[in-house]
Amino acid sequence: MSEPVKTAVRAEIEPTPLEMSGIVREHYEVVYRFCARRVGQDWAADVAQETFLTAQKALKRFRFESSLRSWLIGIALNECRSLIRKRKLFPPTIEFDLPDASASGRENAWIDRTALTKALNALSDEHRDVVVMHEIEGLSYDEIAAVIGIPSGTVKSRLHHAFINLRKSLRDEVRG
Amino acid sequence: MTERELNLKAFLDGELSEAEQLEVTEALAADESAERELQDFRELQSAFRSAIEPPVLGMERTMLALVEKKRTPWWNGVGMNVLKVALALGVAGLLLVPNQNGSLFSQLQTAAVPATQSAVATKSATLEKSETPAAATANGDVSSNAKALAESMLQRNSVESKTANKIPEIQGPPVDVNRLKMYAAEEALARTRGATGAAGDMGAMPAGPLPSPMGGRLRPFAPGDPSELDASRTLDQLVLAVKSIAKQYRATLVTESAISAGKGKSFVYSVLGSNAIPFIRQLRLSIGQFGSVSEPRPAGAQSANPRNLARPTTADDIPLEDLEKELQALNERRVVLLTEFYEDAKPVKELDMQIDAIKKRIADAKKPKEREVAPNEKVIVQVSVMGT
Repeated sequence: MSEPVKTAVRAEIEPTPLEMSGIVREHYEVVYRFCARRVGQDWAADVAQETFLTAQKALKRFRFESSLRSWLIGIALNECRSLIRKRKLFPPTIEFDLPDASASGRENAWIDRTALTKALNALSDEHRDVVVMHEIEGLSYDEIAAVIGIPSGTVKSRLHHAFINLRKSLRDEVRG
Repeated sequence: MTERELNLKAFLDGELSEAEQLEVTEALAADESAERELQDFRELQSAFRSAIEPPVLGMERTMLALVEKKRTPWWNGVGMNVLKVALALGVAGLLLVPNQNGSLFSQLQTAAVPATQSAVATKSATLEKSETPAAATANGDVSSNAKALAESMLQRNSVESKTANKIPEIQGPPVDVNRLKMYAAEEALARTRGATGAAGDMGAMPAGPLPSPMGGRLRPFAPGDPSELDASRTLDQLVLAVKSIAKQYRATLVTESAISAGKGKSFVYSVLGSNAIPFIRQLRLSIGQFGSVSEPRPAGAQSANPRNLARPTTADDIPLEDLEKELQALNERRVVLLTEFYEDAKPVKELDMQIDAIKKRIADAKKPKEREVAPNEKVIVQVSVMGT
């Protein structure tokens, strides 16, 4: 969090363009990638832009009860959901830089690129969301809780269940 | 699902308290299957770390949007301007509506309804208040005329609605319609000036003394003024008006000649730069469609005719012809380069930049140059009038 933003928020005035550009520089990458993983690359820039425009208008009401990053991601999540509903979009496939088990010829490889993608897509939306936020986007349990609006314990539980399901799917895949 | 299983993932993520961590560590040491599960989770976690990051796009666009797309309430932005324009058009429309029997505007002289009875008059008064004190003084009679006209219009509408198709006979001296148009134009001009403030008012005018005590504002014609014209606009009246205005602005008559077989007259005046713009504006307001007023040109200049001007040069005084030759040479070089390189190759791009720069310079040189007039410099203004 940059200091000028805090000043602006304390004074309950709208952030200046300079302050907003500081926020964009710091968080655009996270927000953009978050959006890209939910609505795809084609829409990600638009949704990220809308996120920051919404944030610009709402920043004076931000109370620092959560981190600015999770607040922005919360806005981005709402924007993504809204777009998905409007455009009837499907979540894009997340690509992994892993070798294919068949291609590498590894005997014990139970996690390969195709299998992991398939297992992740097979998860419920709730489980998939927490896995992506925690494992790929690096949000903490508390941040995920703030973004989704659920208790931190629920995040813990969802993550655990998601991992059990992933492990099962991948093991089943290996067994054929 | 046991509590231990629930904590296993959190244990891996370091999201447990020390006591919980100790508890899970002990359970893992005792349970081989739990240890295997934890190992699987670890491998899964590391597999997720290999997710390919999508390339980030559009940051600059977002920054621009944050600066440009600052949404303002409608009443602070375009909405207010639309409202102002609609109101101005409405008032102008009221003033300019042609009358069937030509007697409507005579109410200007006779209307005496209190301003508070009319919403339009209230608006007119508000507009007046928004002007600077000097402007208010200058436009005092203009505003009062506008007010009276608006009131008379309302009164007339009221009378018409009561008497169905009967058009009332309004007593009073006839009033010049063109004069009212001039008032409307001046009122609109005054409003524009009022909106832009004092700086906007005088921004386009050179500093210097003005002949009238109006603080530089355009002076409406007062009854009995020699420059006052009636609707017929005889040539004599037009000439009188021009001479009267020239006298006000201390313009010196250089030449006077008859044009169009005696139906018109042409004057060339020499006037101080500081007075030139108000002088021209006043002339244009006064003679309207019955004549034309040229832009000021320096007294030394022979003619404003572009054919008589020297060949244009660029800002650094390179003749335009040289630039055109250079452009031609560069274009020829480009053709040769394209036999060796693709269009997006560096040498071609560099050449394109040079070509663009020269094209821009040529375009700039071809633009008509506006010459600023110094306040104490004499300028020439040509006026032509046509009348019956």
